[in-house]
Amino acid sequence: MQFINDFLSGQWNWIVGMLPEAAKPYAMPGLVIFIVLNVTLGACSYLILLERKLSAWMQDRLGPNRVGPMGLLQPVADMLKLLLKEDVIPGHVNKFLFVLAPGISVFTTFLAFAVVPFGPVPKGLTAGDGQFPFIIAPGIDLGVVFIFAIGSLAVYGIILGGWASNNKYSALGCLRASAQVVSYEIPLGMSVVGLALLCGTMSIEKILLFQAERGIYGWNIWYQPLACVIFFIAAMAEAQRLPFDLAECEQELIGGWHTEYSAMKWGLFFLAEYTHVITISFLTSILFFGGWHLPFIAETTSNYSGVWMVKVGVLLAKVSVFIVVIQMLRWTIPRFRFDQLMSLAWLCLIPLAMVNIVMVMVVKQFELNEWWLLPGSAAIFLAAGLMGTQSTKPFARRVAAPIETPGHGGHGHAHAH
Amino acid sequence: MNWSPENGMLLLPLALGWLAVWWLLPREKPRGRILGGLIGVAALLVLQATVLPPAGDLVHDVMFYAFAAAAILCGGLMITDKNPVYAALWFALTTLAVCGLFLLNSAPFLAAATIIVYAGAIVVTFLFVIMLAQQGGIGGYDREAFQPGMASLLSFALLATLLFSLQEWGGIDGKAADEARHGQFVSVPTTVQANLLSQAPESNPREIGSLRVLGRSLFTDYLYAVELAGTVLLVATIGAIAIAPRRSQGHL
Amino acid sequence: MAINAKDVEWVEETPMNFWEATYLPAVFDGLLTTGAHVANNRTVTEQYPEQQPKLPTHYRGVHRLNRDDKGRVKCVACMMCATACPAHCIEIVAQDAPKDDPHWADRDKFPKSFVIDELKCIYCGMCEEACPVDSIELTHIYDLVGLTRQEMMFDKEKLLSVFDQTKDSGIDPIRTHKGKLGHASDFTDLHTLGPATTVRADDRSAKAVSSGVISN
Repeated sequence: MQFINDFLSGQWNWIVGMLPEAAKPYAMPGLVIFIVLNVTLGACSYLILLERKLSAWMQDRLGPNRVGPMGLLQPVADMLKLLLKEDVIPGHVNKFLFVLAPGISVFTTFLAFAVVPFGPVPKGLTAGDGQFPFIIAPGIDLGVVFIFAIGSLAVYGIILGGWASNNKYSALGCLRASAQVVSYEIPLGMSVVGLALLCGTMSIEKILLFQAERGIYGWNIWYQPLACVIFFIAAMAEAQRLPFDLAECEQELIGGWHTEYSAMKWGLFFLAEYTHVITISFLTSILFFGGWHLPFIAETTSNYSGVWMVKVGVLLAKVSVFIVVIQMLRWTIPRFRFDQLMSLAWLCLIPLAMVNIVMVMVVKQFELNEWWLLPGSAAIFLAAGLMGTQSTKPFARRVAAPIETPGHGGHGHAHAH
Repeated sequence: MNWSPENGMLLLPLALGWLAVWWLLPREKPRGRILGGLIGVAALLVLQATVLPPAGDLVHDVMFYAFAAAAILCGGLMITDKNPVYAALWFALTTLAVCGLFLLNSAPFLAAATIIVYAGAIVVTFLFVIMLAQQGGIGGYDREAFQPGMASLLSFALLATLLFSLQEWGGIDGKAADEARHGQFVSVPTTVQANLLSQAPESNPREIGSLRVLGRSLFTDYLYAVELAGTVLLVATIGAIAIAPRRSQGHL
Repeated sequence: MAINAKDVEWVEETPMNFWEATYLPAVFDGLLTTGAHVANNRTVTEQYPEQQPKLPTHYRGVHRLNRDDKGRVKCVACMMCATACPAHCIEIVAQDAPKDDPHWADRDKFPKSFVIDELKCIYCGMCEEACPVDSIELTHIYDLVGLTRQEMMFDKEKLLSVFDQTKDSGIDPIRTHKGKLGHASDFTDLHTLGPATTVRADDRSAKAVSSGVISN
């Protein structure tokens, strides 16, 4: 491990040495941004391949296997196809906004990465001390809020795309999707409030360190399992992933806000979706599953050479687990109807998140043992299930009763066979 | 208020700005937008030369002027654009530019919260309403401004009042107030220089903008205001629920 | 046509029990199912160009015109197929059989030209059903390609060559109503199979109260 360390830092020092003096402070941030952008883009294209392969295996198919060995060059072919296709801009669209919308989608999802640490962020980092920061913007105290602020701007990609298309199906799709995104922002934000109260900070790096310092029993999943579930569901809805992707069901809803988009502009919307999936998986593993922490192997006290590689590896392993879970959920749960989608957010996730916050506040205020949060979360969850059996009527009873045909009796007798 | 020559210096950009906005407000017969734009830019330049000297730090200055100019320009475009969808988008950009100013003044939470609440939720709601209500094209009330002269004059009178009182307090022309003046309504923390708008972030201790300090001051100094605002919002929510149709009474 | 009220069955959603109302167990259950397929996937994909598909017996592909035992076109130019065709893609020009030719002694008419527009055709098999002499049939040929529209107009010679090409392939036996029709439908030396369109006794669609609605 040590020689990799030496090799990398040697190379880096050589490169920095060649730069003019004025550019040196910007060298390290530039490197981090370069790595994050390229790794994310590459990961996105291969995630599409992984998703296609996983979908195929789940459906007893083979998946893409023609381009390159085992289909490994398929992403290249996909990208070439998207780039070389005719890029249609329909007449009567608002050209400027039509072109701007996919850009906003991609821009906001990538911007959210600025505060996501992808490795062990060194303590006491100062500008220009030559340490690799493992995060684009270190030392932001409000990382979680920043991500929500950027995420709330992602709605503009949807709204502008739908409105500029000058197509009523796109407009309806954009209203539907932006209502979804705006609604799910609330449980997403509220689920993290409990976490912030528990850890006493909103900085993503500090939440990670807070867990790592307390060992495996310090992982927030033990204290906030309910918040974790709410966060995961709401984040999937934010990213427009199945089962929440009403924009992709052409059969029932004629697509959504990107009905009129083609070629790479269409591809940018999906690049944004996949980047969002990566961000979600990073956030879930960092906020709830200890980030790079793994007992005995990657602790805060681990001091062997090359420990950063192990930590990055652990974090990436956790992230890939969540990515695979998200992709498997795609073929596991059927798509929601729009009223179900809205009632899930407003009637289920938001009240649960509120109760969760109150529970954390009670525990913190009366200085109870934090382990009470685990049975508490379970109790809230089960109570919600109990209320679900009591209060929700099946949908069939809420729609209008069938019109009775004279001579045939009620519908109860209509079943003749 | 004691009249001084400095007060007079503010009148010129205000008058120019009023002229620009009045000229640009939507009319049935379109006017040359270039002329209005030039007057507006002139107003901004005079304002800059009059009251906002550079603070010295190059990066900070550039960012401050960029954000400030963007905020004012987008605000003006929001008022003068005929298309309500564009107006809403200019409003969103204005909000973002103001959030940039917040960030420059070390108030990241305020910036993030403003983005979430205004740019992310309220403007989106505006856009919803505009898109749903204006399927048939731009309405007459968007094509032609209602009493453009009087409206712009009144709003600039309001702006003048604001600027004059700020100047009286000593906040905007780079001359720090030596002691708390008579009629001052905000207590200035000793660590914050009086030159609020063009203040360099490093002179501002990190704690000022932090969440902890903000929360403490909200729930101690401004407790009544917070509670009152909360009550108003609660009443509004109850009212909205009360006037919304019930499922049993009609279609939802 | 409106659906008969007798065909409509109203189903009440069953109320959810406790674990169903919490949703998560069902999600994990579903994940187990999909996960099991990932871990143990039995691929059903056919690698097409290398591996040819096994088509069902009743597959309807490119048409052919059968020859009779003397090698003549079996078609008697009765226009039944052209009449039955919903896509109007068959055009037949009939000609009287030369009376003095002993080769045609048993026939009144034969098609002078017989053209099927394979691009217009919807491959419904009505022509096959209508044919009284088992002459027109749909084969298993599915990879029909052409560079021009003209190329896709199959004339009599082309259709007969399709017959020559497919008669011995084994998957395209000549369907026949042997014994029920005239001597033109009788064969002795070729592999044959019963007609393609028979109503089976367990066909539910044949017993529906109103058309289009299948009840149990």
